Amino acid sequence: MVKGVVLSRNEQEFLLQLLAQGKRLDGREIEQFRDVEIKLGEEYGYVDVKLGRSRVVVRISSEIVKPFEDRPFEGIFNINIELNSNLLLFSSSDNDELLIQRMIEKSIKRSNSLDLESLCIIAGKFCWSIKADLHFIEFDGNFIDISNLAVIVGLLHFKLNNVTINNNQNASGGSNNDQQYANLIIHPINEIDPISLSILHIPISITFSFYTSTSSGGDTGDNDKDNDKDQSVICLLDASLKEEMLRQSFLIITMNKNKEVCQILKNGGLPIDALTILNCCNRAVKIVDELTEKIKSTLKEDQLRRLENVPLDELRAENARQTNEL
Amino acid sequence: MPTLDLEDLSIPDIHNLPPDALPALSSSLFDGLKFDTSIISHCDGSSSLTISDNLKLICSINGPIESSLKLELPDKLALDISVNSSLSTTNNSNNQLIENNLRKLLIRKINLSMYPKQLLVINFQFLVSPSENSLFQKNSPPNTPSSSSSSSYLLELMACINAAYLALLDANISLTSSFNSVIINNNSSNHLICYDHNHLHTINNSTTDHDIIILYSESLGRFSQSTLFNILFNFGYKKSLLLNFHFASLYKSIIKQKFIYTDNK
Repeated sequence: MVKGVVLSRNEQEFLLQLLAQGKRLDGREIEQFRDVEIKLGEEYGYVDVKLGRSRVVVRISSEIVKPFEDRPFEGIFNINIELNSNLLLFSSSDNDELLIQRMIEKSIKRSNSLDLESLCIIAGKFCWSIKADLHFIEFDGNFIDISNLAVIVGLLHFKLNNVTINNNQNASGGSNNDQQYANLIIHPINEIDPISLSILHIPISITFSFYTSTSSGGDTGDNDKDNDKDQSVICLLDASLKEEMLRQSFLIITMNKNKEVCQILKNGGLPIDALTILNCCNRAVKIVDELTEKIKSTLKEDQLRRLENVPLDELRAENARQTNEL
Repeated sequence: MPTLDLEDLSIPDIHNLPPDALPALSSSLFDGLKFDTSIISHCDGSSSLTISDNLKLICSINGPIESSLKLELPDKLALDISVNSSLSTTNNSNNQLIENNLRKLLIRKINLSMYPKQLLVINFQFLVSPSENSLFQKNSPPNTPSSSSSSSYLLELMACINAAYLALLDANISLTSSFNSVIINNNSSNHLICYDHNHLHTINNSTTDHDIIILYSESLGRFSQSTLFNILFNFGYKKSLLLNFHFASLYKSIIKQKFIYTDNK
């Protein structure tokens, strides 16, 4: 949890009563997702994502390494998150860090969103290692959703240098490792266009927070004994920092545009009805559709902006054919 | 960064400038330098600094807070400075060097005796760094020489000093004097100079006689003694003075927004 954010008992009770009435502190609806702002940097793989006041910057980087011995045909994808050594002073244990890392791994790596086999250069010898560095700049809740979104946008935006393998093994002298590297030609981006990563689908995480409220049947105060108090479960979408501090349970659903559930995680002790989970999935589908469209349009705008100064007509291989009408 | 020709230097008299002229002047002189403060709400003070697309830096300050026994100093404030790269793969030797130099500088500029037994945590987070933004260099095989690492170090240090100054002001930390740093690229050398503006009352735009106090200077490359002196006492100082006025104008607007209330609605 972030330093200096403490909820008093009065504030806690007020917030819960507000939620029981279907209202939120920031004026949003119960099922309203905050506006997502995605900024892409000049460098490939630099993404700055804002969700309300929460802000995450992701840098994707790559290097050529030797693949793992048990997976010679696959590249490597790593996620690096350091909450404690960052700009915000976190007083929590490593659990948050681990949870975010595991969630991104499950959503992107294990759902085969990033095709690791496409990162292989020479089987068993060289492969691309992709690393995502997450920098948390501002925290106002829902770190998992925003982190997952930022990483997937970063991967979609990132491009790898073009590599060709020199089959003429005439490299003489130097160590064995140098000779191996001499067979690879890494083309700079101004020489040959870089290649996008092979992303098979776009998984997006949506977090639902659950609260119990003891709602009474009639007016509160006068006839407390007569009122039948029910424990109803409130399901909240995109919780803010204060709402996250009070939640009793949460459910993270990762879905793609094809309505495929990539992973589900339910944390916390509060039992949730199976139908509620189905409803959550249905709600998540709409948000996933909207976010996917937003990601695609942002990437397209960036691509068009980069192509503005490129003389595309001059780069065409074929000439415009002129027909001579005789 | 583009090279500046020392011969073409013609900085106008900044004391008599109209207020609109300052941003235009600084943008031409400081190569797309942009800065902002109070960007992180959970910190006591924060600032961001951007130099075109080459460098993006965020500085956050937490404190003065209760210090751990290990770091506690009985009569003054303890500093905990950390510089973090944007990519985890880059080596940290540059960061260590920047941390050490910053510590030497900030110890003299922060009024440490005001906060005994307390701790000030200063974090620098590079989002884009000039030493990392070359895709080809990064993916090249091992043992490839990196020519720009020394000049990028100076640029990073300059950014850290200026960001620290803005964040310290934002955190309301007592300073002995205002300071800033400028980087000057000559044809064959790079110079980083940090100046102290001790007697300069920048908020009121009124200046008294002030001496040129150089807090820190580091130069790389080939240059003559006369070039260095010209940069230190003429060009660099004027550039630093202009930057100081630019910082002051930022804080003037912040003070107007935050502390001066008028009924002009």
